Amino acid sequence: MTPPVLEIDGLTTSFETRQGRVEVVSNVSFAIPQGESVAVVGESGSGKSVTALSIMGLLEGNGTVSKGSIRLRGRELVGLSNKEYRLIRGRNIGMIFQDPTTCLDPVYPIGHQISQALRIHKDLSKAQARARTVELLTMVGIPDPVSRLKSYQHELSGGQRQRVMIAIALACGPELLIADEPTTALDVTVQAQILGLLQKAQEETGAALLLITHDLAVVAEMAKRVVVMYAGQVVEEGLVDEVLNQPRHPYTAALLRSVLSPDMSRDEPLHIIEGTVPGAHDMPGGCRFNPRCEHAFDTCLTEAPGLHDCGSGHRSRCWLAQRGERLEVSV
Amino acid sequence: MLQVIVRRLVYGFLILNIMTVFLFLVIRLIPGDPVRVQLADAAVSQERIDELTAQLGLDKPLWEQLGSWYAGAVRGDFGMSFSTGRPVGSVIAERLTLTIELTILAVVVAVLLGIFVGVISAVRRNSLLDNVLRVGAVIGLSVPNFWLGLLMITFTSTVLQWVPPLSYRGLLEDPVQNLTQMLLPAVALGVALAASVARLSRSSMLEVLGSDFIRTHRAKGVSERAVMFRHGLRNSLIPVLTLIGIQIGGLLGGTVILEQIFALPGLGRTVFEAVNNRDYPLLQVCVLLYGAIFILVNLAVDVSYGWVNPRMRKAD
Repeated sequence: MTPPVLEIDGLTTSFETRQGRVEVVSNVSFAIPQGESVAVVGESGSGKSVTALSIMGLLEGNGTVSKGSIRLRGRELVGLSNKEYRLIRGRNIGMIFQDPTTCLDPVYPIGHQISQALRIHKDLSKAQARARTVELLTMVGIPDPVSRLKSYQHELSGGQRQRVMIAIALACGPELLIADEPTTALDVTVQAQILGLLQKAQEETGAALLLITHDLAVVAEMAKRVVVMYAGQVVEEGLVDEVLNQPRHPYTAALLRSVLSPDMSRDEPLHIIEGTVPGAHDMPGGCRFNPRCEHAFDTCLTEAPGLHDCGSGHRSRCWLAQRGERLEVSV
Repeated sequence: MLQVIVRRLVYGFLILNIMTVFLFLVIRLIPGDPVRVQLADAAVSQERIDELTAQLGLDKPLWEQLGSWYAGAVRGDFGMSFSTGRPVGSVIAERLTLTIELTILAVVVAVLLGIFVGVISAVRRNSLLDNVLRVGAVIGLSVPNFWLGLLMITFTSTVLQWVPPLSYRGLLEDPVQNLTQMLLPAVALGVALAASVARLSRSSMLEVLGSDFIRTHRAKGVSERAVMFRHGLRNSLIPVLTLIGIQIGGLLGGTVILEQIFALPGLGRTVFEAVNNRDYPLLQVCVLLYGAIFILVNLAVDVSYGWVNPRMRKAD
């Protein structure tokens, strides 16, 4: 059996700060099989982007993977030298970031920025790289790609820039595509196009997709499995259908309830989750979600729950799930 | 782009005309009478004074003097220098190149040294080397250039027992001697600019290296060296170029004193002498030339923006 494209096992990422060492991602495990897509959801500060950057080996400043393993097709990535990692980035893993307005180099034409990836990893002549770049631009739906080669990022719209970012990420035919909130900074109308493009690209190239988002609608649309993160931990994981229809963790349930829909009436109160994600240096004792959890009881305040398997790979880090209790989603 | 250049040249021409009138009046407000300075003799008769005043055209009303200056200027005749008796144009022609060379050398020194130091500082940020370089930059920024020039002369002559050759040779005439003569003043003139370029390129480089598109390049697998120099440096040059454009005016001003200190017969020293001698026609053209150089340099800087920063190419 071939190993999954990505296999994360007990990943713990920490940063050195003035207050000491803080764990931003704690003991995160999940896997993405060939050609599949997994979504990671959570609020800002839940550690989802840090997880992605840990996979890329692009942690900023003094962040390090302090424990665990990240395997790409069985090959261990943790502990690779910068040089070895460089050969994997762009070639085996492509990444798309949140804000396309700041993610493209303002002083080089976009054609150059795409072919740069090709020429680093593939033995292509200038003309071959150019031809492939035109192909990529066509594939991501940039009209008139040949004349666009010489365009600068400021001459493109937000959606087009994100298309260029996708072209860069796909340039070398990566096995894994990481998209970190790829539609958050875009207009709603463009969001659907970009998601459609990602889906199409994934089907055509057979790459596995790791999609990071806070938008549950995007999860439902794009992914087969979902990993819900809260305060650096995986709190729930399972097939999208199961998790979204029958959440086994109060945080997931609360996220689902806070989604706005057009058929809500004006007088209906908004469902918000009170409070914010705790900072890495003042984690509450017991379950990390207990200060914001409406179901919290005494055990939650003192003992941290483990991930409980509720059957068929649906796991939840909640004492209620261990008791077999169901959660109410609709109000 | 061409349109922008033409428009800027037209503006430049208007500015020079305003300068001309302004200078014409201000120069004549300097205390002291050029005729008496020239005669330098208390016992000269009033007739002799009147005669010379008439000869220099200083007896006519101001507007008429200005009119005749313009009448000559359009034909390329800028009058006779009071103190040397030679045409202003030919006096300046032999001195202008020196000042231009000095300024260019100083800018080259400033840019090479400044960017080099700034980049090292940014790449090795918060290291001992970075701290030493940053303190050095603050010192470089605080030291007046004339004092630095004097220090250099004193140091080379007393400690190294070496003085630069005294008689000036042009760059084309004798390049080696010319450059030995020009090196010290160019460094003295360029150090302050180098220091501010170093400080700005350090902070600008750090800002760029922290930006999202640098992360995109790393995510593509671009090598660290290319990330630093091809992408980091090129992006961080944009504000540095602006700084150089602004500072070049101050640099030109510095030539007046430094040429005096290093005994270089350039435009700066000519200004100095022309003020002392109340040599109105010479002073007028010298200062106008400084203005023209400043305008042209700024135009050149603005044009080169487009080369460094594509966002500027279609502006205006």
